[in-house]
Amino acid sequence: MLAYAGGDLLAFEMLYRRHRGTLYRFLLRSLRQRADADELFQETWSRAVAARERYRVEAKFTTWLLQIAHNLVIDRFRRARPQASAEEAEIVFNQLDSPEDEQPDRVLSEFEQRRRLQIALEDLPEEQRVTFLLRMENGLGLEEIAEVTGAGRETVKSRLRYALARIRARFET
Amino acid sequence: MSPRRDPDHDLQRLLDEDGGDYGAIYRRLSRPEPPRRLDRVVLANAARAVHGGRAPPAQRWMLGIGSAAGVVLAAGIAWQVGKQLESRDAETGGSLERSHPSVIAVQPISESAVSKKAESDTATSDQSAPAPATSVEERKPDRASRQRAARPAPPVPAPPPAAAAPEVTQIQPQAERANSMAADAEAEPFPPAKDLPEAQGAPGSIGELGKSDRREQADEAAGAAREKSLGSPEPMQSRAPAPTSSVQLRQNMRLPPEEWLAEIVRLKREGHRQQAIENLRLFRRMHPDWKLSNELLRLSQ
Repeated sequence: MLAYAGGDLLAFEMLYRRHRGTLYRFLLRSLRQRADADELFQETWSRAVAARERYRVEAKFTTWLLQIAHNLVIDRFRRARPQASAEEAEIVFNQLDSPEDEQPDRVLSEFEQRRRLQIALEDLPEEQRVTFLLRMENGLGLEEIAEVTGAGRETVKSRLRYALARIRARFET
Repeated sequence: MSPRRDPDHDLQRLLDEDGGDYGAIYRRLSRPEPPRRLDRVVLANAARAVHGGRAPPAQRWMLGIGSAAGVVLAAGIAWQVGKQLESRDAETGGSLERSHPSVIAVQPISESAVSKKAESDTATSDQSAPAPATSVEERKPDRASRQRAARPAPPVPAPPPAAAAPEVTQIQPQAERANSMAADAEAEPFPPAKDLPEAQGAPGSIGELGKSDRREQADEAAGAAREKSLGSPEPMQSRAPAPTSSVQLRQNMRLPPEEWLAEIVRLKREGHRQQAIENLRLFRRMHPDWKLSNELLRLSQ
């Protein structure tokens, strides 16, 4: 990012290629709407570009980028959008492609597992969902999640614990 | 998959590197990528921000410094040039020349022109006075009478500035340049004879004449041209003869002092009094400490 701030566009392209997928999936699974995810994905990178001269090397780029994305996601949540229904969650799930080269019985089994996890994620409260995604999609630890979300470490731990309980409940039904 | 009941254990598994059981399921979820359209938009924005944006602060700073340096340099050059001009004026006693630039060259030329005009008033033969383009041979018969007309010594008042202005602008810089070049002991190459103005006549005929004839011819041409310039507002014609006198002065200026004085005496004795005076004035400026003979002292006074 420092190289890009100094005018090296190639450095930005490398950075973008490395983070585009994880960022996009975080946004898509947090927002559950592809249009929203597209919009916030573009907005996140725009803000990163605009703030390139304020970037400090002390902050890990992933954390810095996810902070921007997380703030945008929270803003979007605060618009009091009604929670998606189970049917809507199913539609979102169906939009996501599944592997095609697997055995039918195994596909069904794994399909069911993924489906349940997907629905469980959709049903999670926003904060728990975002926390869970930061851990699973972006591989952040408790401290990093706390830094991105601005919450305390114990709060993050608690959110993860509640999220796991809800997911597990979904798998047990 | 067998879900465990211990939430701390599940959490610990989740925080493990592989994410535990749920991590394994999560990794098998589809991995949607952003559409190409978004890639293009984001990269274009990034490129525009770098290349199309404002200049970095360092470059703007350098631009300001560069401008300031240019102004300082220009001021320094102007100051140096002004100082040089002042010193040159001080050397040549220049205030008089600057305010009346006709002192060296214009006044004598005007005198010959006025003399020639007086001659033309008295002698009807001057109606066919040589035009600037007439040949030297055609003008030769008039030379003696013109010399007679030039001899009368009484100083003639300077011509009105309006008439003299075109000549002044041409002659004065050359006289000044001659002085400065003399100080440097380095003179500019003289314009070749073929470059002399048309008022002197055909270029080839000048080369055939002797040295004194050449001067006389130049003098005649200068007089003729000035006469024409008095009656004609054309600046090009009035300017034409000026280099002749100046060229001769510069030629003489390159001579050793003794030879130059001998040339002045010769000019005087041959009747070119005005040329002799011009030469003598320039000589005294270049060699102010040189002791002059009584004859030349009288001439200078």
